[in-house]
Amino acid sequence: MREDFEISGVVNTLLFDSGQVRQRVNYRQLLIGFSVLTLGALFYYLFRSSEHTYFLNNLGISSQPISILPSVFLTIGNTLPSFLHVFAFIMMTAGLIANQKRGYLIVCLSWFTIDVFFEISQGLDNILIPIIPNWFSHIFLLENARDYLLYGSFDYLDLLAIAVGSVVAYLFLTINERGKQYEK
Amino acid sequence: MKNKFVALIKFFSLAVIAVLGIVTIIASNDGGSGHGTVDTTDTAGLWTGTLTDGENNTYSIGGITSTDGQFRLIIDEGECIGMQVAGTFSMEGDTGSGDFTGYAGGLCTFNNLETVISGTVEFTVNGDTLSGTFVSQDDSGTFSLTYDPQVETPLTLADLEGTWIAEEGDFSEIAILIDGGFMGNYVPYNCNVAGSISIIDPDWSITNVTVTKLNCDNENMNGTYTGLGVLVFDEESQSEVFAIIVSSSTLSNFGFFTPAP
Repeated sequence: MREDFEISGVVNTLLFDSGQVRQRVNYRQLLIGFSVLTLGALFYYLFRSSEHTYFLNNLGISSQPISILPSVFLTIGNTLPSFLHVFAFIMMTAGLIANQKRGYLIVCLSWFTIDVFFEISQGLDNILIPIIPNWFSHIFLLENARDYLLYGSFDYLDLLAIAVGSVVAYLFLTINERGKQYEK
Repeated sequence: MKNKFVALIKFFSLAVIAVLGIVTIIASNDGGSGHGTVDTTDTAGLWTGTLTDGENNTYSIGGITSTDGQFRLIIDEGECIGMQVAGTFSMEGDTGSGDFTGYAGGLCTFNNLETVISGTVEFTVNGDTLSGTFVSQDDSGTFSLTYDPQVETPLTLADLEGTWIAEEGDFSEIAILIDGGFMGNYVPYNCNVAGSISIIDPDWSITNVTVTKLNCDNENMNGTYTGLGVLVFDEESQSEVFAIIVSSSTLSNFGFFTPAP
């Protein structure tokens, strides 16, 4: 009998196959994702001022950006968090719910869409800020939504980094999967 | 039953990852992209023009931009006189950008009824005109300013020494000493005022100004205010005018002074 617990759409596609839960959690992918996310946090600690980074500021972590990178790497460095974020969350999500190409593709496209949406929103601040409810400013994290839009800068290079991160993650997942099949 | 339990665990784990992903985007940034190289000398000076808000209200404004990247704009007439915007900016070529804090003034508050707001500006400089847009927490709009070259004049503290009569604003007359220190009163709350003036760049008639208000009837008024001052010549009154525009974290003041006869 079909379980009365139903999850529709994409999640259903990823979680179930003919009503059966076959996918096992891939702890390796989860660990890679978490490690990359930690790397991203470390990047912020080393190269961004806590004054301009909400989570550092609110955790009471004081940091002054160090300037050891040659200027030619600064452009790459500024977009690295966009790459790391999309890559990390694709890995963690895939590790949890996907094990086939179709699942990987859906996960990659989902995180690509989310990250691109937030990047583009920084360029639409004059449209979006007026519709942010005032009560956001009294809630932890949501209080930063306005400043995120107001002070964040839309950057085509960030969009590129998100796209590259998504593609690299997809290739990593599929090649890794193919390697496993050969092992079998 | 086991499948159902595992699916639930996975579903909630997925939800946690999704929320974490979005939270880390929002929490990682409140302007970390930074601004370009500061090269603001070409943009420094006195600017006058108009600002149009999101509701198509137009205000007459005057502004000072300093060689070290500070700016102060103030509504200089009408019921909102004294409403000011203070911030810093940087330039990349002919394009500038910056962050600002806005202070309500006159009979006006901001659209969200707050008295202090923050926002960003972006603008381009084309010859003697500067035009751009601003976005704040409650509004957005445009501004257009024309350059006035008269502050491209060398200034020393000796030029400011003496007694200055208040023409606009809530300060009384002030007495400026040769070292830039000055004293006076803030009339509405009977505050004693002590301040200091320092030259930012001796080739320009623009100064840093610090004002400390003491012993005010309303204790909330006590405190230190910082900002800019500018010495200009007013064609209408055929007199020098020393204007100061200052603010604390929550309050702002301005004063237009002319030399005592």
